[in-house]
Amino acid sequence: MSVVISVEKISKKFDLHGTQSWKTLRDTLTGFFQRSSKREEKVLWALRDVSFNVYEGEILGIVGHNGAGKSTLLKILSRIIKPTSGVARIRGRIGTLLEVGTGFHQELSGRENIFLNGAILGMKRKEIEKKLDEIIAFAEMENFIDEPVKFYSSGMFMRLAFSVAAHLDAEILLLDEVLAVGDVNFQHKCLDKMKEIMNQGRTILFVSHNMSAVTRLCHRAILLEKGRIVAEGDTREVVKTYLGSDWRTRFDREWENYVQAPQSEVVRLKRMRIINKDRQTSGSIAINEPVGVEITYEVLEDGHILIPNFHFFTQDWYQIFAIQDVAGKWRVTPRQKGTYVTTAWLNGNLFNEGRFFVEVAISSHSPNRVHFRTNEPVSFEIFEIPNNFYTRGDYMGHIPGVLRPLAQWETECCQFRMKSSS
Amino acid sequence: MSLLIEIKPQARGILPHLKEIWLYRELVYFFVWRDVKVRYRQTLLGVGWVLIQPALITFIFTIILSRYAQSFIQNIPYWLFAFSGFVVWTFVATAINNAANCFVNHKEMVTRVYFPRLMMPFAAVIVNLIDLKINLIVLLIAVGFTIGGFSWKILLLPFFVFLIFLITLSLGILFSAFNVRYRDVKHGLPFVLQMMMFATPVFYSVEFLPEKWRFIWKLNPLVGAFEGLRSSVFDSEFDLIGILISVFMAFFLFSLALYVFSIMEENFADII
Repeated sequence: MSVVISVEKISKKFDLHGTQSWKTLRDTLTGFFQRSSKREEKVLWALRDVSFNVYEGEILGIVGHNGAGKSTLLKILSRIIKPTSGVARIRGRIGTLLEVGTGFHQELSGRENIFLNGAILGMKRKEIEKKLDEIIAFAEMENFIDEPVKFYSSGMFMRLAFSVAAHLDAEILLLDEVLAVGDVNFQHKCLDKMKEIMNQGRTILFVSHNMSAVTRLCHRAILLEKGRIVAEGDTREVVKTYLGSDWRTRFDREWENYVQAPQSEVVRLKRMRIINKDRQTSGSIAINEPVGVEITYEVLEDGHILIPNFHFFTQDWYQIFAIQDVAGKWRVTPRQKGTYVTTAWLNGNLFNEGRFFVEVAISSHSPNRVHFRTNEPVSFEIFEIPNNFYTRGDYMGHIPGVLRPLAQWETECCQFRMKSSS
Repeated sequence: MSLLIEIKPQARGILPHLKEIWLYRELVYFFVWRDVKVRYRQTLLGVGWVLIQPALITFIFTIILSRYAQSFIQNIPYWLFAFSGFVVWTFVATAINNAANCFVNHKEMVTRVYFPRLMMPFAAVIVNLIDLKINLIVLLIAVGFTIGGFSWKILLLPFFVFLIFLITLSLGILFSAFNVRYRDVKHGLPFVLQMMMFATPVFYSVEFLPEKWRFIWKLNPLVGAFEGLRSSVFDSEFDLIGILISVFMAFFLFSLALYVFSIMEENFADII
C-alpha cells in the first residue's frame, strides 16, 4: 500500500493575547486589533511534533478530547491554516468537510446552493451537473429544492449540505464530526454512505467524538492529547485508551450550558448519571448490587410520546445490549412540557467485573424518530466483592466474558450407581 | 495520483498561486453568479439602482459646476462629461469597497474551507463589471444622441475599461488583505475613496488644474485611464504620456498587490 498522506513533525503554535483563553482568541482578534506593544508572550501549542502516515484506501480515526488538536490537524491538512513547523505531503485530490454547509447562501435556492457549495468544495461544474439528481435524491429534498434555503429547517439544511459533500469526487476526504448533526435516522444513512465511500477505496481521515462511528468505520486510529499523539494503532485499542483516560471516565454528566446539551426541539437532556441502590451517584458498583442509570430531561414541546433508551458498551466499544422504557404509563401517554427523571434499574449479578459505558437516546416510535443521542458516555465499574457466593462460588481464578448473570442451576441425579456391584 | 500537495510553513510565492487560480477558475464564475443572483433580490427598484447612483450625483455636480466648467470643455455638455466620469467612478468605488470587505463578511469561508483566497476579491470586482457595462451602454446611447456619433477612438474603449479594471482589482486585493489584519480599513476606506475621487478627473479634467500640478496628478494611474476613456468616447486628443504612465503604474500596482497578498494570505484563517 502506498502512503497517501505523510505528516512529518507538524507543530502549530497559537499566540494567545493577554489573559484571553483559547476559546475567545478569535473573538479578541476580530473585535479589535492588538499590536505587539500590548502582546504578552503567551503561547499555546495546538500540535507538537505530530507524525503519522495514512495509506491508500485507509480510514483513519482521530480521537481526543476537545482542544487536543484534532481540528487544528485537519485544518492544516486541508490547507486552511499553515503549520508553524514540519511538513505534510498529500498525494491526490483532497476534499474537506470540516463543517458542512459552508458558503451556503440563504437567498439562493437549494439547487443553486448545490452548485455554489460544490464549487467551493472543489467540484467542477460538469461534475455537479452529472451528480445533481443523485445529490437531491440522497438528501430527500425533491420537493423543496427550488425554494430558497432560508425557508429550510435546520435538518433539511444539514441533509443537503452533507449530501453535496458526500458526492465529492475527492480521493482523500477529511471529515470532522459531520455525523453529529442532523437527526439520528439521517446519521445512519450518512454512515451507510460513508461505508460506500470506503468501499470505493478512498482514503478518509475521520475526526469524531462518536465512538460507535469511529469503531465501526475506522481501520486504524490515533489518539491526540494536548497536541501530541499518545496512542496509535488498532481502533478498538485506541478507543479503549481514550475512554480509559481519567477525563473520560465520568459517571455523572450535567449540561448547564443548554446549547451543548444533546437535544431536539422536543426534548433536551440535562443530566445523566450512574446511581447505586441508595440513589447515590456512584462510579463503582458491587457485582451483586443493582446498577441504576438515571436521566433528567426537559420536555420542550407538548404531545409527544417519548421513549428513553439506554445503550451499554464494553470498554473496547462493543455494544452489549440496548434497553428501552416499556413501563406502563409513559409508553402510551404523550408528555406535557416539564422536567422528567427516568431511571433504569439493572439487577445485580448481571455484569462481569470491568468497566462499562452507557449512552442515552430518547426516541418516538410512530413515526420513528430519534430526538437525540449522547456522544459522550457515562461509565461505571463493576467490582468483585469478597466471598461472592452468588456467581463465583469457591473458584478463585479469572472468570471470562462481559456478563456474569446469575443463573438458576439445577442438577438432578437420574440414576445412582451402586459402588462395586461385582 | 500525480497531484502532490506540500504543506509547509513557508510562503509559496506568486507563481504557484497563479497556477492554482487557473485550476479553480470556475469558482470565480460561481461567486460572481451568486452575487448577481442575490444582489437585487427583494429590492424595489432592482437593476434601476445601477443607474440611479451615477445619475443623481451627476445631476448635483451639474448644478454646482456646469457654469464654471463649461468653459474648459467647449463641445460637450458638462452633464454628459460628468456622467461619463461618475459611471466609471461608481464602478471603481463600489468594486474596491466590495473587495475590501469580502473576507471580513465571509469569515466562515476563510476558516472552514480551502480555495485560493485571491478568488474572493477577484470575484467581488468582476461582479461590478456587469453594472459598469449597463452604465456604459447608457452613456454611449446618451453620447450618440447628444453629439451624434463616434470616431475610431471608440474602439479603444475596452482597453481603457480593462486598465481601470486592473487598477481597481489591484487596490481591491490590497485592501481586502489589509482588512483581515487591520479592521482600520473598514473605517478608513470611505475616506480614502473620497480622496481618490477628488484626485481623479471624475467630474473635472486635468485641464482644470494649474499647469505645475498636472504632472504630479498624472502619477495617479487612474488619471491617465479616466482621461483616455473620455478621449475615446468624446473623440478628443489622447494624452499619450498620461496613458503610458497609467499603464506602467497599473502593472506595477497589480504585481505589488499579488505579491503582498501572497504573503499576507498565509495566516488569514488564524487572525480573521
